[in-house]
Amino acid sequence: MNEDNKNFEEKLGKAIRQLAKETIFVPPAKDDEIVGGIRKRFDRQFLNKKKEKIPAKKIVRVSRWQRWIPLAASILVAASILYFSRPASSRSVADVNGDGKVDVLDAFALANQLKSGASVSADVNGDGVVDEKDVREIAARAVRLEEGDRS
Amino acid sequence: MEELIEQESFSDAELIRAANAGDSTAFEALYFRYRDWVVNLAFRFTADRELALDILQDTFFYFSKKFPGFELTCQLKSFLYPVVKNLSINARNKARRYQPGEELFAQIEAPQPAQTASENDLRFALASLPETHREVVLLRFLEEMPLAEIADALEIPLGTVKSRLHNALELLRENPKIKSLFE
Amino acid sequence: MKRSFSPLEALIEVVGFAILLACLLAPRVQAQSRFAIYDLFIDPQAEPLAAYQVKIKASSGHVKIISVEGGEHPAFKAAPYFVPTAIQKETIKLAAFSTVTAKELPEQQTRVASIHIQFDESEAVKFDLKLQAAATVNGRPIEPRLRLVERAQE
Repeated sequence: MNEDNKNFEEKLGKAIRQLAKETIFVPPAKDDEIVGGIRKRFDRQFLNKKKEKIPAKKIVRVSRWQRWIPLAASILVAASILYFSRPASSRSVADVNGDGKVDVLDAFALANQLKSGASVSADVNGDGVVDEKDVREIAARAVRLEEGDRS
Repeated sequence: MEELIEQESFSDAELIRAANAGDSTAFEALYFRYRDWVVNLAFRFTADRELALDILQDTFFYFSKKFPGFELTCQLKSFLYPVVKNLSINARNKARRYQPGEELFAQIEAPQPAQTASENDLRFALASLPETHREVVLLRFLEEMPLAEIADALEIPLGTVKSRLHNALELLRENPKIKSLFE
Repeated sequence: MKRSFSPLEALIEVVGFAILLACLLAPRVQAQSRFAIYDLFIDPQAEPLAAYQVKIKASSGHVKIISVEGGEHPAFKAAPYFVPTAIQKETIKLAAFSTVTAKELPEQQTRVASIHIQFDESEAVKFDLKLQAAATVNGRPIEPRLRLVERAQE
């Protein structure tokens, strides 16, 4: 009976959402009007009120164990650099469109192939299945920052 | 595997904190985050695009007046829902499109010629529910809100939400016109 | 009472003191900070825009990127892909795509994303904007025009 209830509720939910499928697109001019009004209101509301200053940091006496924090932080940073600079062994798999680089066009190509139902061999995350997670993994690699950009 | 962020990285609570300190761009981030949900909810209440856009504007103007000093004690959707609902009722009153006793969710309940017969049956079935029960059903299945958030939004006990939902589902199950939809 | 330090302890003291000093100085920097929103516009010049990837790097202004939002066209309304390590930094890569049909894609200039930034008001903000990839529906690369514009404050 519980399974029946669950099925009924799932189907009901789907049917109700189908009834309300029409959605409203908010024109950019309306966004501008609303956001402009918000800014004016904030300026007025905070005009006579002293804007909160970001509180000054308290002076902290560093105890004996807290002296180890900078060293621990340095080890963590070093480990992160080593982790993120590891070679991308499956880069060739992620280059779905075969143009020699991994970028959003590879994620786009894989997404299109999945949508069309074509069989693909781009198991980028190595979980044995080619699905949306591989699309996301490719997109993640595409927007990864280079070494010099992470400062 | 590298983690991806597909949405803004600040939580509602963090943005509200920044807005309380005078940062209007934090409030704007909240606007863009909830804009589509608010305008579509308003459209479901009014079935009128222009009214829905006006209600969107009024909702965020009302919300912005709460700063500084706004305190988030529930999910933001639970706070915004009654605001949108009341503004929608007022707007429809003004436009003389709503009489007390008329159906609240105009977009859902108005039969559409282009819809299939079974979809119109579902509309009638929903319309036949008591209004308080219908509201809970739509918040649960259309807005996909958890029961606790529905309780906050409607300012009723969680037990009441559960019993209204249970009774509404029983009524819908027994309705012969929509039975075939779910078999 | 005499107290002796090992070299390691001395190094840790110095590093800890430097971090403390940075924390004490930080509020003075933040007090001069302002916030702004920059809109990223792409003009695909009459071709349906299906995918894009751009790199945005602030070249001056002590900029920190604090948030990203989606664009105005339904195909690009959701926030684009970016990595969390870019937040609070001055460089970010944004990428998005849509698998809808050509009819549902923008062909004229459209705002595809916006970035919220914090910057030092004593310096002019400048960005380097680079298109890294863009394509139309079948994945064919295109060469759209890009603009990054500060949203006007009223």
